[in-house]
Amino acid sequence: MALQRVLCSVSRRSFSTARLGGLFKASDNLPNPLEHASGLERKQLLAELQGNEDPFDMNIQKRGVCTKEKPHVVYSSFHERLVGCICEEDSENVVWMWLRQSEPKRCACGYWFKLQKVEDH
Amino acid sequence: MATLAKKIVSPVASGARLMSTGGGGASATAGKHAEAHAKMWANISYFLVLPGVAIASFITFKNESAHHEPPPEFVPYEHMRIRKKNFPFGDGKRSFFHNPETNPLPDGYEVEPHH
Amino acid sequence: MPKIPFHLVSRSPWPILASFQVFNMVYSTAKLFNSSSSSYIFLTNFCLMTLISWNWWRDIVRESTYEGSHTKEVITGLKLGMMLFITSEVFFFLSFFWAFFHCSLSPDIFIGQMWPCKGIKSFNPMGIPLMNTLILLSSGVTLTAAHHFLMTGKKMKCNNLLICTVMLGVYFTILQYIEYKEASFTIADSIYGSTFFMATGFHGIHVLIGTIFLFICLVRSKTNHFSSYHHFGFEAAAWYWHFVDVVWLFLYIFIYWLGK
Repeated sequence: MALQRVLCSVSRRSFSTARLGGLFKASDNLPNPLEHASGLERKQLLAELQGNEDPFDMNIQKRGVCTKEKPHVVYSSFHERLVGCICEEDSENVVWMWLRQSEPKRCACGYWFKLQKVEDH
Repeated sequence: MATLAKKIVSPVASGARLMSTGGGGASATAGKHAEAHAKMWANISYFLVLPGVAIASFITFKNESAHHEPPPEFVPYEHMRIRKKNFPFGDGKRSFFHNPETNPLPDGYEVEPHH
Repeated sequence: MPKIPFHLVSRSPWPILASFQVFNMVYSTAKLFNSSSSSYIFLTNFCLMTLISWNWWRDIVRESTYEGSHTKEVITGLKLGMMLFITSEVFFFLSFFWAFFHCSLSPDIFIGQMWPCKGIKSFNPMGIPLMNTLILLSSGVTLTAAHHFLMTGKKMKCNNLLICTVMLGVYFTILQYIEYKEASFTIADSIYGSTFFMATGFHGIHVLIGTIFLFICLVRSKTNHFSSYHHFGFEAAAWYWHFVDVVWLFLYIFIYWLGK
């Protein structure tokens, strides 16, 4: 939200857009934060602007079907990822498990999880 | 339930969001408001604070350049001018900011004060 | 995009070199104070420490500004790190204040059962020390103004105020140097001199560090490292500078003023 407000306030000033081409000229305004960012930070900003508040899948996800035939898919850039299952809504503890490639796991409460490797892009 | 859950399980992500929102929100609530706020600080700096420092400097230096009273008479107190070990520079007998006129050595002033 | 927002730092020699160098610094400082040999090894080690720090921080700037590895989560970690570091510095100063209060609140008979000790002519708190207080408070104001301009994207105004802040920091250092030179007592003059110069001396070193940090921020700001949204280096320098200011206020009130 904050980023959108900052970008809006930057673009509202007409002279800032005119200077987009002259990044190397001495200008009074700082570069547009979105243009200034690079690498992973930039990807995170872009994802946030596109409405994806959780590009890294770190928030809690609501369960789907989670059966053995159709386990809940967990994405990872690596060959394993720690997953925590909150069995019931009021559970006070989280059941943690390592998910590995091609090895769907079942939590004690009966829900199944599967790891899906995602290529970096 | 979703927002409550966010706080419990992924504190890093939500914390980061909260922190960055707090930092960004405080400044860029709306372009004009933030700019007015910044202008206020600039005005305080340029018209209150920096002139205040200049005036205070003038007053301080006027007071400092006034006649100083002579340094106190030398009394060889045991708790003063402690030299259990030499200083690790020079001849080891003088401190780093030694002033011959105001800092006596263990046996007395080096230089007689001339004012 | 990699599915983790955290920064897995690529292999770097600086952490282990820095840890070895910290050991060297401690050893050479102890050797400097305790032996009669020259202080060149200390200076060499100090320069080496500076070089290693320069390289490490340069790499961090490269990773953050150019490579873009500093996501929101990474910055959260850095904020926590900086706050913890400043907290550790608070405890560092706490120890010198403890020593000061221990000696000054019930003065020993050896020093005349009075504070300042017998034979000590303390500084007039309404002279240069008051000026120094005003300087540091003013630098806090200019720094805040610079930060607000940075957040609203006004580079030139931010840089101007940042220059003011750095100059005020340098002004403080010069005045403290003058005070030290004009002092009627030295670090070796009773426990008063010891506590005074240890506390104010370390504070002066922190002012130097803070000034250098702010100057680096000025250089980075001029070379467009910062955006109005992401400028944690500047924020860290600002936090450090405000901490230095607060320590001075405590020094001024308890050592210069109430300790008179």
